[in-house]
Amino acid sequence: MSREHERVVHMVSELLNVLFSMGASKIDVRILEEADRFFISLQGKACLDIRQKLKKTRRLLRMNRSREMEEELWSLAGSVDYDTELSLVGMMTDEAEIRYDEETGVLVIELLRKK
Amino acid sequence: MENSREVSAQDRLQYRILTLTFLALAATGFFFDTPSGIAGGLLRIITDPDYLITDYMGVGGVGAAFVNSGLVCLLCIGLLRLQRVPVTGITIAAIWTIAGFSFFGKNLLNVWFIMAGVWLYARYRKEPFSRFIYSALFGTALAPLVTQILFGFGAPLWVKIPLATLAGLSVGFVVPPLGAAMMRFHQGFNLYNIGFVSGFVGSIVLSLFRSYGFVPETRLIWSTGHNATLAPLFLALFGAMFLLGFVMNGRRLSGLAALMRRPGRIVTDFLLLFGVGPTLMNMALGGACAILYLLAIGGDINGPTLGGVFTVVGFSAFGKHPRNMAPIVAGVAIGGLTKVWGLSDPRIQLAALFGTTLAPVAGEFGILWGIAAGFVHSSLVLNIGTLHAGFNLYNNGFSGGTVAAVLVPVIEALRTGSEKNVS
Repeated sequence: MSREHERVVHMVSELLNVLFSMGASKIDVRILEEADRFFISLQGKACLDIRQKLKKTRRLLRMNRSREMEEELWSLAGSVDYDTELSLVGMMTDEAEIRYDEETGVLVIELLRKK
Repeated sequence: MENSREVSAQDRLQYRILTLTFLALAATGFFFDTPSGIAGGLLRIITDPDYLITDYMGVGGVGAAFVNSGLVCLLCIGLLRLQRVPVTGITIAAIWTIAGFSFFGKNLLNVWFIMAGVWLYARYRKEPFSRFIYSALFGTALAPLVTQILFGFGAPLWVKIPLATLAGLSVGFVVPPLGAAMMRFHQGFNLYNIGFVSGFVGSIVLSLFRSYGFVPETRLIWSTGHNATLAPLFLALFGAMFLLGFVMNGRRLSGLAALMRRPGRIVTDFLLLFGVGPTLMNMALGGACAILYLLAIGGDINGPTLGGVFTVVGFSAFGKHPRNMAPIVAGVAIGGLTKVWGLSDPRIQLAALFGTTLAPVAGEFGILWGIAAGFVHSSLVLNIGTLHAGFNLYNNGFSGGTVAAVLVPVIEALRTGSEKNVS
């Protein structure tokens, strides 16, 4: 597995942690790789009240890209099951979009990561 | 929404604050000594084999130690600016840590070999050096290897110079890949990750040295008698820092309480999460608590302990706060009261200050586990140093990483429930 792929796996793993923590039981993951970037999309139906968590999630995923921090810390993303490192995923991401439909409870997280 | 970032006006302001701070630190040296005294002291510092524990205040005098620390930091800040690195919590942690260790082991000569090794690694990977800048800065933990070869060996210069260069470059070259790999062992519960890495690298290098008959003597250069001068100086500095943070936070304490509720595990970047104001106030509190602890136990404020204080201050922008540090210090203190050494034993003074590398254990798992981590750490740190004979300046990071790697899985296994937090 290439270094880039390995990092994307960790990012997705972290996002899965988040969706599980929101009570999602059916999650769709879609990854699209292009020459210079990855598009990562996760969609799940949250079963818990996530409004408070959502605000925090949005803020952390929109953290500035930090390639300097990523280089040493990326392996922590998705590495443990009791704590999420969303800010780290945010630092590994160039663009983040989070949509939540309050009626259906469907949460969509879309990330763009430049290589 | 785009997350990408360039060096912003905010970064420029923070660089200015950092530059002024360390310019002031260097200038303070001239209150303690004459320019010629400082020049002589700097020469003695640079030519000393400075493995643990070598107090630069004892080697070159208080003035030269301050100037060395300030100048090394200013050069590192210049390097960060040159690489256009945005200022985050880890930037502050790295600079303050270097400032601290430039009082006992890092100097104007020995840090560049390691950094050049990291630069070579970046060239080898065909990636910008800036991506590995933190490995380069923290990797200078192994800088005494270079000076030991240059000034501690009895070989001729034509042997020592290439050998020291090769050792520095090789060590620097391997630090970045190991940094990411070793993080998995302690899962981010040891804040001095490169200290953990450097412990292993230092142990391997020392084994090679020993294979050729080199057995370094243990050393303890520990100056005393500076408390009356340095305690008020640094308490005033931390008071001013707190005030500055308070003003920058709109003359409010808001954010500080929320900051202190964070477990502090890597990556908890207080600067990014809470902004400059609360972070500065937390850094000031951390520094003041460390100085007051030293005074309370009858400890010494000198090069090595200032290193501990500065590291606490720096990492108070990246995971530490009084709430998660206190249980670790309590664990070390309980050890100091019940084991065969006292609280004011030099190595135990350092264990209490640097042992706060394990603060995330207390932050995540609670006070009792924090005390247990500090208690175990205070014993391990006294023994683990023999593996690398003090060539790894971040000996507490080596010990802390080992404690976390062993303790955290056990705590996890005993922990009931599976609470998940979005951090």
